[in-house]
Amino acid sequence: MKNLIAFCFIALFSFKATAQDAEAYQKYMQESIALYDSVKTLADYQEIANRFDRISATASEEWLPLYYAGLTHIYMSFVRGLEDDTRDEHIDKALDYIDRAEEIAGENSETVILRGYAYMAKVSVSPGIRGMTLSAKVTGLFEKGLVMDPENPRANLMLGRWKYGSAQFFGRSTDDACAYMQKALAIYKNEAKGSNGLEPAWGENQAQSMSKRCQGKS
Amino acid sequence: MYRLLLLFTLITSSLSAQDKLEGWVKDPQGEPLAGVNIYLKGSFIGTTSDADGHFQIEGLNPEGILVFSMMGFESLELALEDLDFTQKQNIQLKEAFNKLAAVTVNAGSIEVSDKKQSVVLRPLDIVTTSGALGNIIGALNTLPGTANNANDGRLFVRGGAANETAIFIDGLRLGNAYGSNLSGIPTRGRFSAQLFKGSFFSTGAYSAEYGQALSSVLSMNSLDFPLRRQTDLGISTVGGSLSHTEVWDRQSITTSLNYTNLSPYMALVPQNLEFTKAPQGINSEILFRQKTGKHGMLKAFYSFQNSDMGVLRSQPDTNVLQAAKLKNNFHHLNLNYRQNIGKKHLLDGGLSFTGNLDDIQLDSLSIQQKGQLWHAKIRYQYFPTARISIKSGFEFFDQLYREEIQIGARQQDDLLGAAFAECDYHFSSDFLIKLGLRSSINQNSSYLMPRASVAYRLNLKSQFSLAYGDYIQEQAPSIRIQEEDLRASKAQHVVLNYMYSTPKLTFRLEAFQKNYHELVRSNTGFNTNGEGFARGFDLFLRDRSSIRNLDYWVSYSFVDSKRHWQAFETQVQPRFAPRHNASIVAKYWLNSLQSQVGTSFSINDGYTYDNPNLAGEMESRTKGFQSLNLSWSYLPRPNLIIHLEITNVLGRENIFNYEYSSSPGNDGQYNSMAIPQSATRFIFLGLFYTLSTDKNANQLNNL
Repeated sequence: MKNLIAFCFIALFSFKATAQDAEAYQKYMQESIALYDSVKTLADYQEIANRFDRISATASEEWLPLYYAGLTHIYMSFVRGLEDDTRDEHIDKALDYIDRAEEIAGENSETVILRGYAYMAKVSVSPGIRGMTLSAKVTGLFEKGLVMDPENPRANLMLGRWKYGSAQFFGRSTDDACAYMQKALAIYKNEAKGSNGLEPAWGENQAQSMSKRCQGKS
Repeated sequence: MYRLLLLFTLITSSLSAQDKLEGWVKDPQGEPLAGVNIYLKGSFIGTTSDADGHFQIEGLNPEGILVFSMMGFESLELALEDLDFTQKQNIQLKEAFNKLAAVTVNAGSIEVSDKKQSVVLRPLDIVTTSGALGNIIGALNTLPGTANNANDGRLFVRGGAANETAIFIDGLRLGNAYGSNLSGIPTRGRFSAQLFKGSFFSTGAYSAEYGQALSSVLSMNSLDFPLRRQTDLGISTVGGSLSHTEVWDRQSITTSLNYTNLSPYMALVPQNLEFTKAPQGINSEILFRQKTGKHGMLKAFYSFQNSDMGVLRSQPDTNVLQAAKLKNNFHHLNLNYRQNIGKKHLLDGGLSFTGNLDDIQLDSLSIQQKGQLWHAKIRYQYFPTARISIKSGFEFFDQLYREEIQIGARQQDDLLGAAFAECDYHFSSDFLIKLGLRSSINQNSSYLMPRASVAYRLNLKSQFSLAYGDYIQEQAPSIRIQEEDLRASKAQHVVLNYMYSTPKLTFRLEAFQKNYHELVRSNTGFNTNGEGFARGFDLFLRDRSSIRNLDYWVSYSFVDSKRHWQAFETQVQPRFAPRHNASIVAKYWLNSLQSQVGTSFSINDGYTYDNPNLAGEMESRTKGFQSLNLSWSYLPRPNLIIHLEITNVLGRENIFNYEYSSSPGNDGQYNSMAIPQSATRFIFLGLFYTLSTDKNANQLNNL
């Protein structure tokens, strides 16, 4: 009987803790995601990356903190004025977070697209050298992400952006690329925000400015 | 667990006022560290240090653990109960040992890879080096430590003969690594650069893993797993190629077929040699990849090649031309398996077979040379900690050589076993010691060969390394077939290297001393009483950023080499070892034309030769070799490349040697005959088209 009471007590206690954890996790994630709107400097990005890293250390069964930590390091690699080696360090760090996210949740359209984004960043470090060896990988990942979820706006956006860049480079028509951008934009507009606001939702601004460029052309 | 801690946090933070901690984080040099992630373990409470390394954290509980973590540094965990909350904290983080960022031994070694930003050569450079004509060996011949022997085509490293360089694919020896050619016609590497993801080229003092090479090792790693299904088509002035890759979830197959025929080309472009049959041949390959388990991979590679050519050659003795013909058949099979066992062990091994048959016809004399090489190898690597790695293994060679002429045949079968072990120890990120030992045993002798190297990094940009090694090489089968009881030749290498590198600039300075012992002499029968040396230094500079879109490298090698060997009575400078060698390679990306234009220039101070009309041996020297090469790659569409390349644009008449008549003429003088390049220029025009679902895929790797 004593044991039963103890058990009930523990069960109650841990249920309460779980509920509180989930709440704290939710709150802290939302807070951290909101910081993207006010980010200005590399240090601001570092703070966001650190936050997600902290969350991932504590909420070790969640893949989203790792996903966001990876995304933040990709953003950091694009901050102007960084040395190539530093950019590579950020991208490698991002790839490491993506690996860990996939260990928890398996591959999904979002992680695959993020990995494509990371390799796209690698290409941008030295396009002349890496474009030739890595571009197939980037395309492959974006296409794979799109197949996994054709309605993922980020899959449409990133594939469109990538195709746009290479079409421009080779002086070819950007129509194909712009069609993806239009589709991405349409999905962003119709998309109901995820149930808890934690699911990846970035990219709408990019899609808007890219499709403006597309309209400017035609 | 963190749930409990969180709860504690909530409770204690409401009870205790001592929940605030302030301080500074610094690196070992006392410089402030910005961006350090500081958090209470198991909670979401945390902060980030600012530009001055300053931090302030609230909501702590005295029983908790505070974590300081940052990329490139060892994480630090502090128990809060040991801290005095009233004091400002001074925290110092230690730099983490990162194997990828740690110092490596550069002495004698040139890595061709994409791994780092600052490397000497990248895989892609092989196909975009002007004058190399897509040939791996041609590109390596623009690097320090090599001597350009353009009428031969093979690698000659630091005063060493071509057979002193051993070539490996995935750690397994490739027999007859160069295409069989009649002398005077330059050869090429057997395989296209497209098969390899990177290579390791050692110009001296290499690791205990490799043996049976007195001077140098070229170890090429084949591609792991292709990315996608694709078909490549190529058509050029010298033939055509077709290849297809099929990819499944865990397997892939690539097949390729290459047909070369120089007769239409030779009908248009004048040659210095008179061909009775223009070089032609087939080159086919099958690659199979099978992923096993999580990290394992089985690679199988089979290649069949044949070639056929014939020339009429002038001879110094008579006006009669000699008719020479050559037919070659070549097979190579390479099986390789790799398996990680946990994170600390790696086991790999493989088996290779090379079969080569040369049918040579010199006027009415026919000679058949048959070579076979089996190589089996098992390698085990153990990484007990990040700082230590241990590599060991066994290997076994069986080499058969058979020579048949009309009157009879003879053959030689040699067995050889070897074992190696090597340990790398990083005392710190900046200091590495590597010790190795190799032993080899065959029918009549056994050898022990120590190898050692150290590397020390002064700062992130510059480092020194020093390497030493003992090497042996059994005599070539074509000599052993005449005299079996010959000991192996020996060499000792010492190499000192200084390297300065940033992502945009690489500068490399290297000095070396190589001593040869027991070289083969053939003045009165065969013996191994020969000796020799090679010493010198080389320089390399690669700059990718000073001028926008321009990437160039310059290399210079000085070699002082003499040998008492073969039938020479004295120490002589070998024919293949010019003293001064230099190359410049430049590539410029023309955005407006979607083209890469390239040029390269090679120069040396001439090849020694023996003029029997003069006193002494190898006392004369040809005029210096010079060649200016140009190339242009145009990418009108992502999957289409048009490539034009012209070697020796200026048409310099290079001479590689003089041959003399065997007896003097009426005036007492020996008649001389200059040996020029087989063709003054080579012009290549090709079109490469890739079919794939990925419209950006192209064949730049294949050129």
